Amino acid sequence: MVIQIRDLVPGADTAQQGGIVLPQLQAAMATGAPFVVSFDHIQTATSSFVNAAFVPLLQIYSFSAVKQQMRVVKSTRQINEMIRSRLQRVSMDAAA
Amino acid sequence: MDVSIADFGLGIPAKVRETVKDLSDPQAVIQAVQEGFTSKSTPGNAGLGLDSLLKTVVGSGIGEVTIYSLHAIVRFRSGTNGQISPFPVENVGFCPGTTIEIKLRTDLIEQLPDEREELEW
Repeated sequence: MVIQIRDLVPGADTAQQGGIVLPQLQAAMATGAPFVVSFDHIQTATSSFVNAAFVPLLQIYSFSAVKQQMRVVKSTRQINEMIRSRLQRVSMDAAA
Repeated sequence: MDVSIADFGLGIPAKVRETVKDLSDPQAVIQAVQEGFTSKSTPGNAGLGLDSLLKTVVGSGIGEVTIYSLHAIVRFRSGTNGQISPFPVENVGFCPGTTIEIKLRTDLIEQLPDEREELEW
């Protein structure tokens, strides 16, 4: 399964856009199978977008499970750092 | 390169004092940039925006950020140990709302490759 962010929203800029993406990610995680998230044609992602699209996954799944199932491809260093740092931070706060 | 962003809202100190009372305007600005602190002005805010800005600009050594809000002027610079330090500036003026001024050293900004990358956990 491949989730093309650009097919769902025009950009990764707002929490509202993240809220549109989240159900797709939740459905993909629910299958238990590996899946791919593509940021092709998306240059940047704000913390608001990542907070709305990815962080809620950690309310149901462990960070380890998310890392095992989800591959992020055709992305940029900024987007990858934003996703990685936010999820790492939230998982650390939950463990504390 | 200088970038400035302004709004005419309540101002950071007023919003911060809704959560943490008895702070001066400069103290409130310094509180506002702490990672995880949020006034929840928008549901879902995680208190990361200003912290992220400071880490990206000041923490990486490519510039400085100055926040003007109400009676506060606070400049954020990188110290000799690489830490982000606030420097309140004596102020006799007043900024309605908030203005954030970002000064970037364009000669120090890393040129990232255009190639797409896969996220490595």
